[in-house]
Amino acid sequence: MTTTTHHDGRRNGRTGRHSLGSATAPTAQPGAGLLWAARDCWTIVLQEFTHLVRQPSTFAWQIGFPVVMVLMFVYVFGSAMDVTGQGAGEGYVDFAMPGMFAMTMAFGFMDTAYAVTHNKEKGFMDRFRSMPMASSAPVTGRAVSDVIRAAIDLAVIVGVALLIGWRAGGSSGPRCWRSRCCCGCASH
Amino acid sequence: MTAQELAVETVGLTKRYKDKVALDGVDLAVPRGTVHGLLGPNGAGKTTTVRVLATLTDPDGGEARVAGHDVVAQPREVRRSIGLTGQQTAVDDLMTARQNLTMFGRLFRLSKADARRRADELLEIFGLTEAAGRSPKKFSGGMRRRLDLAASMILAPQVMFLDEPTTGLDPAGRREVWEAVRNLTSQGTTVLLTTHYLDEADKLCDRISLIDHGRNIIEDTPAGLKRRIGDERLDVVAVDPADLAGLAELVRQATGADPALDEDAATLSVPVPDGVAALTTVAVEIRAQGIEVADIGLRRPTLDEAFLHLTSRTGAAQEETR
Repeated sequence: MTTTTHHDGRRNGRTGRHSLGSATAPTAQPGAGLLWAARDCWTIVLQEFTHLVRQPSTFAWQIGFPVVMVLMFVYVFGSAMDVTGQGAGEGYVDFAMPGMFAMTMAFGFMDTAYAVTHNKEKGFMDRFRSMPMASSAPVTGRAVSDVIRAAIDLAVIVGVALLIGWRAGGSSGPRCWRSRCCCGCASH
Repeated sequence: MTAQELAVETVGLTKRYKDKVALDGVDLAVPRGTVHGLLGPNGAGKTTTVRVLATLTDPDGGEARVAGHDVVAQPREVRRSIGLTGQQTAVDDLMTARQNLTMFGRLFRLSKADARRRADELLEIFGLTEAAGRSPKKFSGGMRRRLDLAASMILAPQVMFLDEPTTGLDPAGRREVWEAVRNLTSQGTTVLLTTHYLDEADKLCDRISLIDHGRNIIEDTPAGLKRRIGDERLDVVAVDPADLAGLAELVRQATGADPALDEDAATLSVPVPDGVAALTTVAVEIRAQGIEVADIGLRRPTLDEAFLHLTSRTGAAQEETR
């Protein structure tokens, strides 16, 4: 990779042919396309992570909201319901959690959709498409970063669920199967 | 001029969106190292032209070459030679200015170290070094645009497309952007610029193409455009707007040309080949007829007038042929 870095900071007049400093990208090697696509994808993933670091409130909200929902459903609504016949609130967490897992993942789609629309409206997509980067990168980068974020979301919510008494491998067969199924679906 | 010397060349470019014709045969020939303005009202086809040239949209017909590469057959080569600054500033508000440029550098396939070095260089060139660690969200409009320009300059492209670069900026911001564009061209970059500000085209462009209804009507230098509607104009401002019709008839007889009327300003304006002679004749006639006028004088035409004149004329011509 060659890089010439020069800028004299002065006007050369219209006839001047000196470049405004320049950085030359390497010409693509045949077969290197996939590698570049992966690297461009990773650059976009890093962009998303930079957002998390620079605006932690968004991320905190994305994680905090499902936690609040879980606590609200299990303790506020759950305490008013007798689902297992063993008294109000008893065992409700096993029924509530699969739904919470699914809901948390579903909210993730909303963030993805919002981010994609935002990028399109702000002219980001046009800029990307006018650049010699892999055209797949905005999509794959988005997908990879969202999957990583969803995994973090899920880990946190599973942690909270475990703290409040939910167990994936409960004693009763059908209920256990249902929990696992929903949890499994949600995490894919 | 050979094709080698042309940075941008289009022949008979056409594009249709459903039942709306966006481009109806646009021909452009922009020599390297010049600033070319695409001037026209909203919906004239300026942005579509830029989108085709920047490989964002395929044309339906015609040919377009940028930096010697065909936009349809060799989009990759084209993308390596161009920079695009669209109507919105496409910078990431959640990252710092430096992080933005570094990210774009990486996407232009620079190594990590090169991307960082290039980011610092560009911050310096565009006068943003002090703001490097801040988010563009807190920038002024002009600074945002400059960062946007810097992001398109990562590879020091041969051709820059600027789509209405100063729309929505205050006068100070516009001046900042103009300065940045002049800086680009002084270094040999070819610039294709769309605008509907005539003073902008006048100040920045070597040549201007007037575009309307997806077709280029005329191509000339800013000075040439002004010349096309006569070297000078005679303006007469009436005291009573009701006198305007009488004044128009008087001026028509004195100069042999149809004056343009502006009823709101009670003003009529006519191009005159020999300004002083026309001024004298009209002034004498006005006095003889006893019409009261607030002002009468000669002045050079503005680009706005050239523009309105030329677009309305072709508009009328098209109506006739229909």
